[in-house]
Amino acid sequence: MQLALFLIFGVLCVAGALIFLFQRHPINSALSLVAVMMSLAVIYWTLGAEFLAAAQVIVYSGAIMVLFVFVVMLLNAGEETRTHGSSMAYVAGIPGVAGILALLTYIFLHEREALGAAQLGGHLDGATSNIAELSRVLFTELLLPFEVTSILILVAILGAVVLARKEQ
Amino acid sequence: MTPETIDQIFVLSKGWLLGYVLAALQPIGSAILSVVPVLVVFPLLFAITTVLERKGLGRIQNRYGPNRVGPYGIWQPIADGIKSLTKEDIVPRTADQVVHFLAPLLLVLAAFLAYAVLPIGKNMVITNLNAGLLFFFAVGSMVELAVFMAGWSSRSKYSLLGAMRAVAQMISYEVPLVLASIVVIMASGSLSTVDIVNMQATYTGIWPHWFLFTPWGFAGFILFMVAATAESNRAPFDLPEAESELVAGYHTEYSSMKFAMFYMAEYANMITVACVATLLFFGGASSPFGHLIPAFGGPIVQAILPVLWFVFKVFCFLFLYIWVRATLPRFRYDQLMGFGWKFLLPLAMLNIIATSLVLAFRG
Amino acid sequence: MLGVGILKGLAETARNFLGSYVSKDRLTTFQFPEERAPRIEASRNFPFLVYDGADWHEGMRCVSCLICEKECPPKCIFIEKSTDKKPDATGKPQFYPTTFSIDVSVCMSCQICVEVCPFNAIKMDVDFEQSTSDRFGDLLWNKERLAKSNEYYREIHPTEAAAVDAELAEARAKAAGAKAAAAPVKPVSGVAEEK
Repeated sequence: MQLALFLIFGVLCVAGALIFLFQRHPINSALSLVAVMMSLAVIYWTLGAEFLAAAQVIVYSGAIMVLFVFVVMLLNAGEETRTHGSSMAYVAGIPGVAGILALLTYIFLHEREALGAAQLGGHLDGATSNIAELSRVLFTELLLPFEVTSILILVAILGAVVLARKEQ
Repeated sequence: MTPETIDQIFVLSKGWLLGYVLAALQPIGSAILSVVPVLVVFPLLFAITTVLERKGLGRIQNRYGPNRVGPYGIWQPIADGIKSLTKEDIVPRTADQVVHFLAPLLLVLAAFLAYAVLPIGKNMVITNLNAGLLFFFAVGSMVELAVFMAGWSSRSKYSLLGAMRAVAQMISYEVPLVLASIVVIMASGSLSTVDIVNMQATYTGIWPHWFLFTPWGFAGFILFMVAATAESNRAPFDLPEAESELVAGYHTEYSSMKFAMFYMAEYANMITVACVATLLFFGGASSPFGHLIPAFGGPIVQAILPVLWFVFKVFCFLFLYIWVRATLPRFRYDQLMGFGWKFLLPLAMLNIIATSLVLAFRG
Repeated sequence: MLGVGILKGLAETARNFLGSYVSKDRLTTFQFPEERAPRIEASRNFPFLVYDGADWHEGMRCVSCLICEKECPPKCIFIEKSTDKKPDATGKPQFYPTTFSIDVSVCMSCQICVEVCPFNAIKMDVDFEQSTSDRFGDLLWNKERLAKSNEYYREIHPTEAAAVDAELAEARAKAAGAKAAAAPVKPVSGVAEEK
């Protein structure tokens, strides 16, 4: 069951990402990105991270993608024209990417034990809800990054307000 | 039939039916068996709501509602359904065909997905998620995307304006909605809808322990209802589909069955939010004076009674929606946004602060 | 207090809602095919041809003067004048229309044909339940369909009909008086004059 879900939504995710890259109209790209986010949320869920899945849907597809889509709509972005990239990029680029990918795969597989598995301070086995675990960690061990992130968001909001204010 | 059997009757009957399914297909079969009753019952509820709304609005406006199609007009939704199915489906030539087709599907999908976490009675929830309430809000964000898709794909001025207004309104009012329900989450200590309902099932004296009867619950309830009306684009917040201003807003270019899908999704959203309000603030399926009356009628009645109470409470909310629709004029767009951000949001945050102080002092 | 207006509004609509079940005079809707609103005298829908007496062909007042056909703004009246004459209500031989058709899909109910008719032959009907499923054939009304009796006219427009009847009776009396005055004086011989 889990395998079937992973296969379906993994394929959907990759397909969405490819469509996102190859679409000409930015709105179609934005919508396929939404499909990618939703499939990611389902995959998180099959891994047992319910809270993360819900947060992914609410924050990513419900807010960030809506923002993207609004911007595209308001700026009336049209279809993009296909440009012809330099052929040098193809000659050097594709082997380069293949090489880097091979290198990374080798390193990750070779050093598998050193990377280890991250612990969220408890066990994601369903006995403790992962919200309780997340909030415990977030407000005790990781309090400083949490507060700093909030201040960062506050600065961003203030910047947006200042930029959007009419000149007096 | 022992009381335990009756109590677990849905679970047991599902198990019995699954016995006829091949072992390999049992997970799928179990999922289908849980989902099919929801897919049957809630469209029926939608049909009843449309008749009730038209009759209720009519009576409030000193006229009869529809009364031709059946006794008191109760078969009107069937007539509406037949009309919707047999109308020509017009798609504008310049519309984005794929997105135009997918938008109502996604909307209905999102509207019905939220029913997966609502407990209707005891042991009558499709899935008891640990983060059930969060799932419900996540599904609500899908609705905005579908609305936007509908408005954009029609490539028409009115649809675009309507979609932008609708999406802006929905994302602004989602914040007070979530904040208003946080007080309930704080008071009950869990995000699971089943746990929240179970916490309200006890009584002291004659008062049930519903969250409505606590001061923060009452304030949260008012905020939740206002934000929910705005979330589901109902009057007085129905500017996105205001006929007199935007033709029909984001569903201008849709006809026949797709329009019926939009209609169904709006009402399904309304019913979902009414169900969630019942769960959070009114104790879900618990009866307000059940403990005063001795158990009567035997175990079958006792098993059905919570469901009837739940349905009764949901209908009270639907009637409240219809009543408010008939009473209040529409908000102007800037008034609407100002109301959400400058009034509801600070109140919701004040509510959270007050609740957390009280709960912290209580220990 | 905040929200008082809303609560007052809700109370008002609640009063409407509950009142509509309690006092039947709140709901002023006429349940259409079963009940009808009382007929208003001055309403009008499509024209009809008035006939006196019992026979619609013999008693028809229309003398085919063609004034209404000429004055009709959308030109929806089509008349064919007869070649022979038949006696009208006063006995005087008059032309009559062999065909008189009105295309009611064009007629705009302006009543100009009624206003210009010198013979009070065409008047406005009040019957509005004229819908038909035959879009082309059934909307061209012929003479037989348009002919309705003077009793019907009296029923739908009582004051108008009374005025018209009085006028016509006066005209007939004058005509009869003129005829009697113009008739040559015969020697008294007991021969009865034809009246």
